[in-house]
Amino acid sequence: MRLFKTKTPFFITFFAACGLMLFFISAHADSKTVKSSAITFTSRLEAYARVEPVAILRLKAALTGVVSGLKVLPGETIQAGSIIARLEGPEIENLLADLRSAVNGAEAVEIAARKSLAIERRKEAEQLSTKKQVYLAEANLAEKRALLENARSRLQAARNETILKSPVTASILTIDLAEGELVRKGQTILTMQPSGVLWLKGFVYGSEAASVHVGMKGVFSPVYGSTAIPVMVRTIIGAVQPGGALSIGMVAMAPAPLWRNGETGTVMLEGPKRILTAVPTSALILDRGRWWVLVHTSRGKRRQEVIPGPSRGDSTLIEHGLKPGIEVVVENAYLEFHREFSKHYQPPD
Amino acid sequence: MNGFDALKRLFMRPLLWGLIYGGLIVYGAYALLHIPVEVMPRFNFPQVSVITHQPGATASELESLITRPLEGQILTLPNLVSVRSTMGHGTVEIDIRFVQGTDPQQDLQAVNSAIDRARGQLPASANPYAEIMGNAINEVADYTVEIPATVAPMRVQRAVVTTVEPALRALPGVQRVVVYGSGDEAIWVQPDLDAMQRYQVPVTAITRAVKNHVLLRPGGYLTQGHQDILIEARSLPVRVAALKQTPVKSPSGPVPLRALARIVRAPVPTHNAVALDGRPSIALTVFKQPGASTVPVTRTIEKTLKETLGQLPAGVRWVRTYNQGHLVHRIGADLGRNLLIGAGLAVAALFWILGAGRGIWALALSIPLSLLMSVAGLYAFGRSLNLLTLGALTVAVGLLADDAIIVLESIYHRWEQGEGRWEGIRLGLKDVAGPDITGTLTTVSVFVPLLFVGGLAGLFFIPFALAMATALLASLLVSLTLIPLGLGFINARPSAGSTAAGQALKRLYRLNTHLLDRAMHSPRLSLIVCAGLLIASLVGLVLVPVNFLPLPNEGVMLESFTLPPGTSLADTEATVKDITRRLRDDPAVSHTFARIGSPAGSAYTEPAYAGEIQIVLKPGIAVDSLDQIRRRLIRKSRTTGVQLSIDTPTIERVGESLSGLPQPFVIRIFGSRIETLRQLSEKVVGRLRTVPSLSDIFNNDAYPVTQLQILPKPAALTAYGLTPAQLYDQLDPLLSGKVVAEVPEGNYPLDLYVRLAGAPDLSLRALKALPIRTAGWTPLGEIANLKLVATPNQIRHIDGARALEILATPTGSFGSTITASKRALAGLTLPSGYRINFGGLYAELEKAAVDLGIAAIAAFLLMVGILVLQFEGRLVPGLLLLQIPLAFTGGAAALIISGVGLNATGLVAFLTLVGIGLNHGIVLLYRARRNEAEGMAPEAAVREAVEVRFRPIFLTTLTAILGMLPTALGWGQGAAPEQGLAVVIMGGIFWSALLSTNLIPALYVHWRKKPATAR
Repeated sequence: MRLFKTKTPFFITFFAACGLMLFFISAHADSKTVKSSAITFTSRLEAYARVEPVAILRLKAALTGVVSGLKVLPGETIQAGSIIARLEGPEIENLLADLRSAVNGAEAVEIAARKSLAIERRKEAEQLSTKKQVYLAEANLAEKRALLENARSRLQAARNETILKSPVTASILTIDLAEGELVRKGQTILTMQPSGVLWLKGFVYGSEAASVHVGMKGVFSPVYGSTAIPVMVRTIIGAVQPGGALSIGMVAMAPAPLWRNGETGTVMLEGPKRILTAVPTSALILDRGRWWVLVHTSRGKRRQEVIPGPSRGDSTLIEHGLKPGIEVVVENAYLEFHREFSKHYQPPD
Repeated sequence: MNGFDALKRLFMRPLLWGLIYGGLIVYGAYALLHIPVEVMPRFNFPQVSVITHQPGATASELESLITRPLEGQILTLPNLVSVRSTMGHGTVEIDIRFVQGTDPQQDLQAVNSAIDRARGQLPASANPYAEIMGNAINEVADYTVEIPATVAPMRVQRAVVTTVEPALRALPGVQRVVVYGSGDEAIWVQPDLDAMQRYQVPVTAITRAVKNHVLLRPGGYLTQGHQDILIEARSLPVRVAALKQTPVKSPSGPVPLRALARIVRAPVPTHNAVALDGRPSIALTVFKQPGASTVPVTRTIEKTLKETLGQLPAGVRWVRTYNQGHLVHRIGADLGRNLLIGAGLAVAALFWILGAGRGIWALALSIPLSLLMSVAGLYAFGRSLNLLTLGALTVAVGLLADDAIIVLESIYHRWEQGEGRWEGIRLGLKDVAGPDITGTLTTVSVFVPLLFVGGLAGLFFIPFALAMATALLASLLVSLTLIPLGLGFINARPSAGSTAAGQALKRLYRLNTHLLDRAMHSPRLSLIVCAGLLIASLVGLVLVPVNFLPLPNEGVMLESFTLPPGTSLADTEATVKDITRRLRDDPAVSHTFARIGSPAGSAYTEPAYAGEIQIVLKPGIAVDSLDQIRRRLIRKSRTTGVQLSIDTPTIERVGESLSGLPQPFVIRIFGSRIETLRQLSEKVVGRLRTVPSLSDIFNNDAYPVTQLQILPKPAALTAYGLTPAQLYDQLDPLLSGKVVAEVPEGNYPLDLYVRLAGAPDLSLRALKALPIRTAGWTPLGEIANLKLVATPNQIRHIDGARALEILATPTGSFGSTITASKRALAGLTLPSGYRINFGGLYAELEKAAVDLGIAAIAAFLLMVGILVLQFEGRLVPGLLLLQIPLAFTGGAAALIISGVGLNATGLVAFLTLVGIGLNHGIVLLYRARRNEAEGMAPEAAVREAVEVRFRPIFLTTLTAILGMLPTALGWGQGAAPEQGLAVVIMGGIFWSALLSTNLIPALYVHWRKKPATAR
């Protein structure tokens, strides 16, 4: 079956097709152009960040004494309740001896009171003493018993205080005193970092600080290789650090983050989303301190001044000056931009 | 009488003359062996250029760091004419012109001592290099290395610098060796910003730690076991592992360097690049001493490179991209061969016409003897054989026989008339001594004033004039002494020439007589006809193609390219790679060697967006296709936004040699503030575009480039307790890189270099976030403002004052163009302290033209004086001088007919014709005058003179033409530059011979008769 009745329409169509093809080829023949695209851009804030414990536990000595039996090392994790060290020495001995003699004294006094009571009771049975005397003796005994209990508990408490136990599961950060050293009451023996209470402290400066708010989400990338950890901003600490930084406190979003105390890295917080135009970075030309792109129009190529923003990979986002959907010259853009330069500059002869 | 006899007996001894000539021949042979052969004569122009490279510095930094200290010392030197400085793109060029007549070597010494005095105020990395203008022509050999992919270029450069360069520098005749292409090998410490923040270590602590770690000091000595043992304290980390352990001070104790930085062996990054066939390479450029002979130098260079090849890494191969020795060899060989052939032809003609008698041997000897003596004369004056002197000798070879033929012929004539041996010699000599000397002196007098032309013109004309003068004077001496005495001593006798020759001569004479009759019949008509031919030929000269200096095929073409100022090195490299790929697709191209930017320590001044591509052609390319190839290559390399030009290397080097000179026409704006200067320059350009007699106006200096300025905020500095210097101390090693120390590794100084790995790739944001150590860490953006501004790419100083130059090409005369421009600028109000003036090479060129004009007039007057001395009255001198312009006809016609282009040597040929054309007329009219004095009538006297003088005139013309024939035909590529010269002279000599045997005698008779008929 023939498509056309006569030959003429066939030829017209053929040539029209060729013409259209040539038109399309020539439109893009000279230099490769790319359409600028609209990209939803999440502005990001990058900051230096450090993993820190929220607080550090300081194990203080309750008594003055000499440290002994300190066998833990910095970095070791100790369970809650495990014994770290003991306090010994002459001061402790004296104290315990005092308390023991107090107990002995209280015991003796209590025995005497008990014996007094028994005598009063016999005397009462023999009608030599009154009930009131018996009651007085019973009260005396009770009082002496209480004193004895008191003395005993004080001795026990002091004995407990000579044994240093870890209050929580923690890892030891620093050991401030050595084995055999004298520690005064209230002095720190070692510092511990309780497990599971680390947060990320970031440092932001100047105008960036204004754009940070509580609840911003981001990702922490440690310097030395480990995987990125998602975080969220919890607090902004208003005091200015040396160097002019404001610190922000961030916590991990996952329950058991794989970070360690002291790790540093970069945290990237996500800011508000904007829609910006993206062009390939090689299409941007810097001339006389201003940024330009070459826009391809039906009447040829035109220079357009733009204000560039951040770059992502091969593309740069334009803050101002270019709408999406415009054909921008990419291939050989720089030399095309300067095609008239021989009119303005003559190399020295 | 007795004394005279005694003198005669003294001079008649053959032994005496044998000794004299023997001595001259020995000295001549010595001179021939030792005279240097080069392309151009030594440029002795008293101008010195000082070039300093400081890569990465902007124009204003260069101005305050380098130009002002240097100028401060240079402006105090005596004998200064002008000091012009250009600074921009990491290069400062200072051109210092001294008073004409001072010795350039002494000027160079003065400049070097000024540089030494200023060195204390210059930055440590600046190394000014001073050379006399014109040194670029001494670049004789360019080599480049083909590096296999497995070898690092820095290794190759190191090997070349330590083994090959010293060997080449030690060669005699080598002035300078420049090796470049890769940065110096270094241990590069790349600080890690995160680690620095973590350990609280600023970059200044790192640089201090590295610097303090390097130690090589003497430590006294011990006396042990009867020996004095010197103590050396050394800590020289040459391995990366050693440097990694270096402790760096930090608040929490020493930190090893490996935790703070990445340490690698890498070349120091440079702002220039070299590529052979698109791959990175190393280049080697050798300069010869000015005045040294080119070919021996290039040969020893080639030999040395072969010998040292074993010390380079395996797989590395030298590729020669340019060899000036090739050109010099061609010129020398071809011109020398042409000289020999020409001389041989001339001698053969003499034998043919005069017969093979013993006397002819004396004549034959005179040509080579005169040549030898002229070479000896050049050597004695300290000159070399170059394009100009060889050109002069090419012309001279045809003329050297002139004098000898005249004398010989005159002696033979006497002998043929029956005189005795010595009597004939004496009379024959007396007949012609006068005109012989006059003829030679008039020719020489054309050149003598040229010897005193100074300046640029003198550079080219003096060697030529000197060579011609010595050649002609040598031939005069030979003709007056060797010929007569030689003929007498060897007892020569005239023999009849071959009958064929005799018949030919007779036929020619008859033809000539016809012409002479015609001329005598209507002398005025003949004069008018000749004048008409002259005008026609001069008009025809317009059609002749003009070509400055055609050089033989050197097998290399040099293409220079310029991209818009400020273009990045990476972009330039990519563009050049693309261009060279297209060039290599051409079937005639075998290698492309590209140099982008200028390496530190060289005399090149191209910034990183410009450079040169050497296109090495395949061997066997014909000379004629050279122009075609050139056009094809330009077409192939055409790229949008790139300016290109192609030429042969030697022409480019001649251009570079003259590069210290200002452009033809410049408008200068003087003032103090750069921004104001730039704005003013744009206004001036706008107004100048309305002046019709100015075209091609370029405001090159003000063409803006982008600059990033770091301006510290004073409030922030106070808040963080930092001074601008402390801020800079942290930025400098991070961003621009610092060579902290040099460690000797073997015989090579290894640099310890500190810089951020990707410093040039930082975006503006990343730069603003760069952490600076204050009490804590503060980003740079909080401490300083970072601003992108446009500044002019170049600033100039003219005699110390800041200026911008605008170039233009005047299409009218200098004076009228200035008036028109002044009118156009009249309405422009200049701020106080700013002024505009006009200048440029144009003024100097006009002065040179005036100088040449004066020299021409002096020559003319000298000639007239000599002629008037020889001949009494005004008629003969007048007639002879009339012959000069008429002789031009022959030269111009020969040029038009042959199709050879007009070039610089052709112009010199016209000048030479002025002197040569007279000889025949002088000889003829001298005889005619003598005949008249003996009582003949003017017409008879003239005819007799023509008859007698016909043979020598014919002989001299024939030998001159035959002597120059090989060069005029263009035999040998090396002869191409002199072809125009030979053609013009051949045509001029032939035409002047014709005129002197016809027109001049006719006019003489006509004007002799006139007063008689008038009476």
